[in-house]
Parts: sequence; C-alpha cells; structure tokens
Amino acid sequence: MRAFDLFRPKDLYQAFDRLELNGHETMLMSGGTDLLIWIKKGLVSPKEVVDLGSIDSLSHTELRGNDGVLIGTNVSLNRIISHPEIKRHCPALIEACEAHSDAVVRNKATLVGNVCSAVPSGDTIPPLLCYEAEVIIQTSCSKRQLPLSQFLVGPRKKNLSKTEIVTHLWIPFPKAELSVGVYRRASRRRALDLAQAAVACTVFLHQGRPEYRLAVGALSPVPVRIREGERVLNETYDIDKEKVERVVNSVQKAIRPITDVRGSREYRFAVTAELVRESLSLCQTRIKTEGGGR
Amino acid sequence: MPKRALSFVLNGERVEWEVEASDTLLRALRENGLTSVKRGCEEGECGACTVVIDDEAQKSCLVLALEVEGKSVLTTEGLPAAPGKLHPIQQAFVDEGAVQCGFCTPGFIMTTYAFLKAHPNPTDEEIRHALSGNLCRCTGYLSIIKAVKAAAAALSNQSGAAEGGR
Repeated sequence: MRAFDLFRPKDLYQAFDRLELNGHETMLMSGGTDLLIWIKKGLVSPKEVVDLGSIDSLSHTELRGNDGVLIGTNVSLNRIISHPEIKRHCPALIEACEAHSDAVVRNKATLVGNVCSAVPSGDTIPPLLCYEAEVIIQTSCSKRQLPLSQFLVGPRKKNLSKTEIVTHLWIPFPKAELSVGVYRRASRRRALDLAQAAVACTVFLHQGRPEYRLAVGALSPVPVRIREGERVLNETYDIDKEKVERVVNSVQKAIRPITDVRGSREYRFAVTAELVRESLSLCQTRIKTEGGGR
Repeated sequence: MPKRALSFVLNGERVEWEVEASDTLLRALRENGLTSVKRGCEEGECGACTVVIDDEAQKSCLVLALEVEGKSVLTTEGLPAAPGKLHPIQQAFVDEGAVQCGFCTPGFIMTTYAFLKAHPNPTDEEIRHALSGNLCRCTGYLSIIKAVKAAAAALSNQSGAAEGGR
C-alpha cells in the first residue's frame, strides 16, 4: 500500500484545523473499508488520511422521538441493523445494510461512509433516498443540511468542499401508521459482492392509504428516485399487473445502466424489471401481514 | 516517514510497538510474529486475517494498526485454553474435520469466537450468515458449520459446568 500519514483527531476542531491547513492533500476516513482498498489499488493517493473514527462525539445515534434519528459518522452498519427504532420506521434501510458486504465487514463499515463513498452501487443510498435522508455538513464556522439527492453529484463525486466534514446523517421517520419497505438487488453472490442492479421500495400507510416511494441503485451515475413510477403507484389504491408493468416501464426509462465487469447493460435492464416486480409484490404482502389485512 | 508509537492489549498483554502510519493491523501483527493471522486477499473479501477487536470480529486488512490504540486485540494465539489443550472452538474444528489446508482456519475460528460470544445457541441459518465473510476453498463449508455447532454445545456445557460448580 502506498504510504500515507494518519491523523487521528480527538475532536472536530482538531479535524477542521487539519483540513484548513492541508485539506487538498487529505482524505477523510469513516470506517475505511472502501478507502483502504482504493488506496491499495492506487485509485486515490492521499498524502494524509484523517480518521474520524477517533472522534467520540460522532459515534452515536440520537433518537428524536418519532421525528427521526441522527446518525453519527462513525456508526457502523451492524449498529444500524440492530437499532429497533430504525428497523420499525425504515425497514428498507435495514435490508440494504444487511445486503452490504458481510457480517464482519459491517462491524467496520459505516452508514455515513457508504453514503460518502458515493459509488453508484452503494447499497444504503436507494433506501435513504426513499426516506429523504439529509446530510449534515460542518466546517469550523458553519453548518449546512442538504438532501441526500443534492449531496451526490456523480460516481464518487459529492457536494463537499475540502474543508467540510459530514458529521451526521438525519433520517426523518415517515409520519405513518405503518412503514413497510424492501431492498432487492441482483449480485453474483449473496455476500461480499457489489450490486448489479438494486431497487428500494417503501410504502407508508396514512389512514389506510398507501404512499409508495421507489429508488434504484447501480443503474445510473448516482442512485435515483423514480418519480414517474411513484406517481403511477400513488394514483390509485390498488395495484394490478398492468400498473406494475407501467411502473417497470417508468423505471427502465429513467435508468442508464452500463456494461461493466459485473454485468451487461442488457442484463441490467432485464433484471431491473424483475427486481421491481418482486419489490412491489413483497411490499403488498408485507402490508397485508404487518398491517393486519388492510 | 517516522514510525509511530502504538500501545494496545494483544492477547491479554499490553504491548508497545512502533508502526508506520499506513500499516494495516494485519501487517503489524504478522511483522511482530502473530503469523496465525493470514494474509489472503488484503481486500476484505477472504476473511483469513480476521481478529477480534474489543469483542467484535474485524478483518485486520481493513483496519489501520494505529486504530487499535488503547483497544484489545485477540488472535488465535491468545485463545484461552487449559494447559496443553486447544480452545473448544479449535478442538471442534479438529474433531469435525473442518480443517483441510488450514489457511482460512484461524480467520474462521476468530469469527466464530466473536459470534458465539454474542449468540451462544445459534441456528444453522445464523451460523451461515455469520460466516458469510470467510471463504474456504477446501471443505465445502459443511464441516465448518458442524464444527461451529459442536463448539457452541461445548462452550455452553463448559459455562453450565462452571455455574454448577460455584
């Protein structure tokens, strides 16, 4: 591995000082399960890595009643998976975390790190788009909160300057009597592989009326919400075969899959259709089982 | 780049090492003689380098050595066992023929150690899930899964006996 220096700040102020001093040569690390591999493969070559893992104040989740949860940068995917309130309100996110890497890597990999890697196949991003998560960004003297959809601007590119740090992710909980959701993906093996195509679908029941949200990953430069598909799903209560196919069409129109080592463009189009059908069907089943036959 | 001081608890004993800032924990452990920690893919895929850090299994190729400052690291060298005996997990791997070439074995054993501490009575499905980050090219996994079940039984007998003896 190419040599680099490591700075382990005790608090955010030390980290900001460091970034202001030599931010252009520095990369931030949260978990580091992507970063260390990128350095090893020569994809990036920072002179210095600032390890946010040493900052205790970023290692917590903070529940704000039924409004939502604030997730610190150092919170691992396994801690998200075992969080009962996140599981209750954001089940699609839990499934996406479980699809990420494997049970051991998830002790190290963080949710914020997965978002900040900003790769098209980032498992947690499609459900976070459905839940309309926001990224909390700080500098030494300012703070801003940005919808995730505006934070991600391209493969491995994000709306973040060299002196800024993503300190937290805010996930608002859906205001609904029932929240169901699924994350389905195609990959060559179940663990330790990146998605070839991924679909997140969430349904929030408001007084028995469902509100669908749909997002896809690994099918465009950044994961995206499928607004037209959502419009079709939300126009009436019932979902029949014809409606499902209209949603499939809207997804296929919105995506721009590429051919790469993990799969061809043609395969990705075909498998996406299947993932969308499966996701919708699973959501409907779960509404019935979890919603007491509504 | 000058070497950096690192202080942590390794297999129950405090150690003070000097490491490069960019050294992975895997590299630091092997250079200091802990060769049960195997260097496989160095990309977090194979699990051969798995160690237990503060009760959690971690792939040591994805951890920088300096990250374990002040923490506790356990490798198979440090598994607690009676004099002249193997740890019950190691013994179960031997008894069930879960070791063939042996390269992946220390990683599997450390993943199993952390897993059984948190899940003393696992189902087959939970075992498969927990071991999904460790690859074995020899055994076909079935003997490993049997070994984990046998180890779970042995460990629960052991703790039952300890409680009974109080």
